Amino acid sequence: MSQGAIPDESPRNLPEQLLLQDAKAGNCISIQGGPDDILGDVSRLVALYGGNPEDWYKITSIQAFVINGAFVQVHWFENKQILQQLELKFKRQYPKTAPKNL
Amino acid sequence: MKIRCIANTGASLPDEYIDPPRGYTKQIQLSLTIGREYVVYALREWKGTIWYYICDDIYSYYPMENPAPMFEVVDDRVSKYWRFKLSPNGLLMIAFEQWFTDPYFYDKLTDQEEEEVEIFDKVKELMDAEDFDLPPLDVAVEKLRETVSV
Repeated sequence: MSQGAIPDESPRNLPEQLLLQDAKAGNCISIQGGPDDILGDVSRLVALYGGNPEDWYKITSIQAFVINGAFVQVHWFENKQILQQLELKFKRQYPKTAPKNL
Repeated sequence: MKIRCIANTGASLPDEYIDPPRGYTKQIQLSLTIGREYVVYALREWKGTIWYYICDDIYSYYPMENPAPMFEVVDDRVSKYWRFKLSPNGLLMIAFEQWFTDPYFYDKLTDQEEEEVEIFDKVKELMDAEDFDLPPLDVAVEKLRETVSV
């Protein structure tokens, strides 16, 4: 787990931008977090941004696009009480057989 | 264990599964195909709700939890790779060994850490190919007794 704040990652292209817009418009869901499934990163998140541990969630886009050969989702951390969305990351998963520098 | 999708929208969810902070609303459309079968890699029970971890229609490298009322069980035989953990807060988790060996396994897996992604890849391959066929009870016990008496 990382110690400091992680800046938001920017979309690399238009499809990633559209994926992000779609997710931020509400097409997103919790992967993990809340009172029954506390995040491993929660101490860091609370120290950096505040809120209670049980209010932090790891969120993913419900959609996933295939972009330049990679299967792409957007993830971020979200605090449901203080309404913060932070540390946005694009998760690009390449097929095992495909080169990763497409 | 295998399940078949029978619904894929929040409209089919009982009230106890509706949890807007986690995104589960009556309006949600999940990445599931009605009629499709999915292998269950882990499951958890929390306050009367059951969640299956499956590789849904947008699977890329980690299984995602999905609410049990979206499915019917089509194969109720459980995996030999599963372990069981009941936490002090009442959370019941059934999953493969590595999930519990490292308390942050799923966290790291969803963060796309290479080692955890590779582990799940292997577990998935094994569980997808798992052979559940057992000999009939009489044949099995006879074989056991032969082994024991030798």
